[in-house]
Amino acid sequence: MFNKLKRLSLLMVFFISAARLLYAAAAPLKVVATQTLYADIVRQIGKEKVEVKSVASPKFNVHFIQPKPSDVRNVAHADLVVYTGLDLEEWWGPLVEAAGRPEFFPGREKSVDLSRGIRLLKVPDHPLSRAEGDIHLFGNPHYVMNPENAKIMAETILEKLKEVDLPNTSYYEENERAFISRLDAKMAQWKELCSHCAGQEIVAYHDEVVYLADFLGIKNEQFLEPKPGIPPTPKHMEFLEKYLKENNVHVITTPTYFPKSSADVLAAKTGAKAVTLAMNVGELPGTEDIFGFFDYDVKTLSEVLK
Amino acid sequence: MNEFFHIMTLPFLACLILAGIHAYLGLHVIDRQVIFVDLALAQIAALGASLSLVFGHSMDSVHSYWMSLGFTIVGAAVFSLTRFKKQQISQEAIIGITYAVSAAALVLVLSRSGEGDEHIRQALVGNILLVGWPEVLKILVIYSVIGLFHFAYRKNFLLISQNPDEAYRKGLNIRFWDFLFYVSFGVVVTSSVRIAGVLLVFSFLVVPAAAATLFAHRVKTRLIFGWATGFLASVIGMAVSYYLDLPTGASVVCVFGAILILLGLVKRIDNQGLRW
Repeated sequence: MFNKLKRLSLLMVFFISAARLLYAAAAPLKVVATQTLYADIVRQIGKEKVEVKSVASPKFNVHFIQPKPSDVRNVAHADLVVYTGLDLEEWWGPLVEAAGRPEFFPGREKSVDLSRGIRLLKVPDHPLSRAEGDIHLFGNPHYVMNPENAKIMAETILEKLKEVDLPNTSYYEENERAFISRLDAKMAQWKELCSHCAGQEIVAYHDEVVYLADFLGIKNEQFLEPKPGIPPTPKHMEFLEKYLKENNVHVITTPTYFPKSSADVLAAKTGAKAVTLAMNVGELPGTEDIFGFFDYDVKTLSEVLK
Repeated sequence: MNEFFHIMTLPFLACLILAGIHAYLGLHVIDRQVIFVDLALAQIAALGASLSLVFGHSMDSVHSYWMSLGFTIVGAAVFSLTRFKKQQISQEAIIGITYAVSAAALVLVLSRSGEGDEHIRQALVGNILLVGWPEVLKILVIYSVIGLFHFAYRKNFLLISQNPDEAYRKGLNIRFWDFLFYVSFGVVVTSSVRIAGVLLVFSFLVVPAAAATLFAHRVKTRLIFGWATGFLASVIGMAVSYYLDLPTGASVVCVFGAILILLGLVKRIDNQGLRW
């Protein structure tokens, strides 16, 4: 009798642990990304094998995000985190700390720093002084704006997914190949659509479209902010007015989260056009994934740069 | 539930520590009718920190800390020197002017220095949800020291706040005690604002004290009432923020508002007494 009971309970233990293992294998990998575009790339590669959440709503300036309790909870439960790196998301460190997951600290095994392998623009080539504004010490961190970089990011994400979820390696690899070939085709289209853009010049609100400009061969050296993080001053507006006229610049771009008023004023004075560009996936209607996002921005630029 | 404690314990502890010292300081602030003095001092401290950025130090450096402390002391001196027996311009006006001028000076300094408002904004906004152990311990130590100091000299501080005429009559050096009051107040507010933001700090300062004034007269009962209000608002605020997934600081502030409205209603019903 006793023996029977023992055997039965052993059997039960076996079944329960087997069920657990099976469940673990079937449960999607939980990933938290700081921004929506990163989340989208993870989704394109992981499909139903991942469950992705992003922290920063694209409707807000990514420099200043106030994480909520759900963000702490999501990070606390994540298997993997994906972030910009450099010094863009200053709220990220405190968030990881509040979630109590040291393995997500920069450089640790379960964290993916997407800036790895990216050719950064505007890396300061001289010792920095604070007099130059909210300069990013390591180079311009808004690299999401170039689809070429999405390829590198996809590669980085794939490597990590394979590392933490070995059994699904071929699944991830296949999805990534499909993603890259679709992206390649799209990139050719975008270059084609905006082929007349190359060599033209735009003025942006903040220095965050330089990577897109680089991709399309557009020149972007002047900004509405006199220095990064500082709203336009009268003198700087006067300078820009002259600059736009003298250099025949017709386009001023702003993101949704900065006031468009100064761009509109400058546009009215110079006859230039002020347009809104999306800075991240999901920021504007039609930008629900990375393809729609670049479709939107490239189309907007190609129409005003005629 | 477990999860709730895991995420909200530190913010809650920070709220309790804030409630402890601010409910007390709030009693002074309400008696003295200098409601916005915390905003003015926080702004002066931010101005000091921004100047240290101009000299090439970072916001969390020791230099920046001493600069903002130095400016807070200057602010305290201004507030204690502009208090007279017969007040020609009300203290509230001077506080308002100090706030506006130091906020504007901050804009000027930033535009020259080129440092964007990113760091300064962090110093004035603060996110209580992400507060860490070191910060909680830091404010616990600072506020305990200041609390003990106030407890030791409570007679002088309370007399000057509640009955300045009597204090003048007794021949107390009011300038000196006012200066000490504003310096200690400034140190508290500057540290609180960094972790909790101006809105939340203002609420912790004024709401418990105002609620207590509605129902109690003696300092001791007011203090206990104020602490209870602060505690209640923190508990409900944490729950609201967690279960409705709303920004934590703003949740606590709105809960404070709701509690004060409820208490006001209770008071009204109470006043009408038996007619109900």
